[in-house]
Amino acid sequence: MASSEFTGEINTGVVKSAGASLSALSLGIRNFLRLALGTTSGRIGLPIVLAHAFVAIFGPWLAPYSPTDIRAEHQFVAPAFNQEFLSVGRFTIVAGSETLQALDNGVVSEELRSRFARASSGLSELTDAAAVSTVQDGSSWTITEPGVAPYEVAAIEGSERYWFGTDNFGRDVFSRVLSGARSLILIALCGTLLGIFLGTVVGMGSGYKGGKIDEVVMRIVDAMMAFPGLLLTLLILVTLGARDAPWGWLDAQWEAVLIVFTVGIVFLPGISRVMRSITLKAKNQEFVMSARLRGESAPYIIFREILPNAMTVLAVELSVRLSYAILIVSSLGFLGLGVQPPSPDWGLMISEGRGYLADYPWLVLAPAGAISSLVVGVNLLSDGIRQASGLPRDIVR
Amino acid sequence: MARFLAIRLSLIVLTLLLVSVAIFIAGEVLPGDACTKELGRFRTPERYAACMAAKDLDRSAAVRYLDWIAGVDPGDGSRGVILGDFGESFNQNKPVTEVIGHRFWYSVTLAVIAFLAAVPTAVLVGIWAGVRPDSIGDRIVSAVAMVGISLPEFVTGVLLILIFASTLDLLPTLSTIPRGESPITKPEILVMPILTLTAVVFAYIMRMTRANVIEVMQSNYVRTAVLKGIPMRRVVFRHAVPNALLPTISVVAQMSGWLLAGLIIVETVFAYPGLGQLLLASINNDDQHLLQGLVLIIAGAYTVGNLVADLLYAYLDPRIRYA
Repeated sequence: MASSEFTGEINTGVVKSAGASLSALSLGIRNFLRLALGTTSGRIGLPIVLAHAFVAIFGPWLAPYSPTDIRAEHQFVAPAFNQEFLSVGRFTIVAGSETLQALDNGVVSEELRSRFARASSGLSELTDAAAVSTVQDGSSWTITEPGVAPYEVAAIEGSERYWFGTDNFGRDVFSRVLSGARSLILIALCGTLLGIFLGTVVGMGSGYKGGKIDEVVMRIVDAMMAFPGLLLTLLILVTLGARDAPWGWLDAQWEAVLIVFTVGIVFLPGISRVMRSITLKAKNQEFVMSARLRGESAPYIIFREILPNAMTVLAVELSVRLSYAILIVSSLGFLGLGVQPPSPDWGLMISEGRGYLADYPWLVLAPAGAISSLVVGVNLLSDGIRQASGLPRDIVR
Repeated sequence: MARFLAIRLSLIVLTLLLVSVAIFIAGEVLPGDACTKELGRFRTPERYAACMAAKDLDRSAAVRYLDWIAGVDPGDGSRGVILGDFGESFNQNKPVTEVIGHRFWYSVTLAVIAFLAAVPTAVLVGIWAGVRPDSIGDRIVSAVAMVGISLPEFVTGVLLILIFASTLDLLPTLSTIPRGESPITKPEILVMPILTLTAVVFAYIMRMTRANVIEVMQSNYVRTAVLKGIPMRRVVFRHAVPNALLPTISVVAQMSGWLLAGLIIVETVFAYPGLGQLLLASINNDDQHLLQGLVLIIAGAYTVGNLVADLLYAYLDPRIRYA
């Protein structure tokens, strides 16, 4: 092992001091920024990705309401920066500022009439003869209609900020979108990292060993590649999903863990092929030969000698695969095979909101915008990294 | 060439065999077996045994696998997958081939039209953008393609419904097919599913073609051709494009797999009665034979598509044939 210091900067870290690893980290970050900010697409993509990362970390605290809180009376409120609510009898209605103005002036406008009609359907609808009679200290009004007992419109019940509106359960869509980022990004990222780990180990090991093992491994990889991505995902998920969580404490997260494993296995064949071809190329070069002659072990040669040469390729794989992982995970949510309701999952939200598309499009538009901007950001960033690192071609999913 | 073909064909057979073993194992571990589900709370040991015998689930997995693949057990009349008999669907008590039946053609209709619409336009637009890199037109096309590969199919589909069905009221929201009709007799239901499928394929192939054309246009032989005074149109279509399209072919093959997977989502979004919907249903109902049959058919179609692409590639690029 002592001789490994002579093989150049790759191996200087055999006995790493804290300072050295810190400077290595800052070097890594600087390299990443150089790659990421080197092109226009990277400069657009990185801020988008960072914004999503910010929401993923702090989203649940930024959310103004609980993502799962059901408020039947606030169903299907349209997006607005500020919504006032009045209670009419036992109903709550949404009131714009014009409504309040109209009430204050003692006018029953057309808009007010239609709102009351919606809120109190089944009770009396306001007739043309209705009038707002009294204004009591600006906090409640009495409405009189011929033939009906006068009833009271109580004070403003509260003003709410439903920026993206509310859904069929009266849940705040904005809060749900903010809270949904974390699980999606975390699952996609963990799945991608697992896939890169598995693919690297399998691909490099198989390529380095060669012979019969390589032959068998590559046939299995071929068989896995015979499935289109999403189909393979469904099959693995179904196969794994038959099992219960091995430990009780994992129960709550088990669905997420299953999806992470699924994504990891789905990515294994593609990544292992790339890593295998890199290993095959490096295997017969002088620095590997000399390491072998020094008597280094196979894992040492694979991970300390060959792997550092593949770092750029891995960075590109990571970013490309990440966007694909996001597509897979959100698609599973949409198909109802991912995170279960009432979790605020973007794919699931789109699936649930589909039925209300004609009347309440914001139920779908908000999560659709969130997913789209995330994937566009990741794709722009990965495009930028690829261009800056000089790797020519698209890696097709 | 014959040797190349023989090797590739035997590899495909080997791959499909591995696939069949894999999906058989996957089917074995599906949550809850079919009989437990079917009998539900009416389950008694006798009924359960009878049901298991009726569905041939009482034999060992290895025997059932061989019977399923090759029909080795002459008693039950199944001829095996090799002869096109995929067994019986547990839930519908009909042969799998019958359940799949017309749905197969519905899906193929959708995929083939989407493919035929996407590939030529993507290649043409890719060439157009590739010969004028960084022009305004190229930037617009590239930005559109970036959005195209980024939007998941279910987002594209739902947005299309919002525009064309909910707002403009031009097309039906759902693409259901009434009994006695076919997609060809109701072409309006195909428009949105095809547009959705096309988006991703178009974007991918267009980006690929564009990148390759840019690369080839910078090569020495193209520069020589330009300097020789050959008209630009001829340089592009005679000198640059044939080489630039080579890598595109393998992407086109991969896109065929992407299309097949995209069908699962698109058919769900539009309630189109094809294989993708059937696949999801078979998963949800633990319909083992149906799932196995579907997966084998899809994997087979995908593998054969890849072979065709490889053959085309080898035909166009002699270096591979002799390597």
